[in-house]
Amino acid sequence: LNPLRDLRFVALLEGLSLAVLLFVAMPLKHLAGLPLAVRIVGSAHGLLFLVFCAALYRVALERRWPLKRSLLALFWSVVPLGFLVLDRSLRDELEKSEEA
Amino acid sequence: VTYSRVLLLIKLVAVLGYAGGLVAAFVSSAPAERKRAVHHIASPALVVVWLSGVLLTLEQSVPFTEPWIAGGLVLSLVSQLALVHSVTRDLQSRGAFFAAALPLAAVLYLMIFRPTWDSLRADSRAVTTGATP
Repeated sequence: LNPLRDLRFVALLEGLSLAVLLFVAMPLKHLAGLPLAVRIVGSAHGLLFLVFCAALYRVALERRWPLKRSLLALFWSVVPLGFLVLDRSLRDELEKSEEA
Repeated sequence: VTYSRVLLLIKLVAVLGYAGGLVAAFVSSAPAERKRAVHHIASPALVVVWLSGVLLTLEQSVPFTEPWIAGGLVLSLVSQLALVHSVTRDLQSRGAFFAAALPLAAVLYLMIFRPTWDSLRADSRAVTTGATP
């Protein structure tokens, strides 16, 4: 198992869950009166965020990332659709590490 | 056998798995074995603990903002990060062990006594007024 690939996978899931929470579940709650959507998607997103933090910490330690790189990854994970930026940088790093 | 009981059983087994992985990470001396104990036993077990915990809170309609839930999530993450740090940096000191084990003990405390904001407010009121809670 490659920790960087794991992080990329978890970051994608976490980012998608945030997007679903903000753009699907929250409108369902506030416009259609369905609070259960936020409860379910919010719980899944919270769980995925914890897994993302653990995966990020492992990669940061093993690949000796500077603090700025780790904080930037964390930042993109909490920005709506920021996971697309993070995924691109992780994909580039993964390709470079596989070429080396 | 109810859904909650099955989830509780899964959670208990997963907690034991996490604790076992934690102990194995400090008992083993070979770095590869230590990493295996953390990344193949403790970390997956913790994900199962979190998943079963989240399903239990949904099933029992407990808010995630209650101190025993939020505290348990944060402290278990702290324990896992300390564990990953200890195997990545190859630390096997007593301090490294307690950095991973003490947050886990605190989580168990929270899971047993289940402090809520209401109970904490009642306790603090009792302390300021001098009455027994």
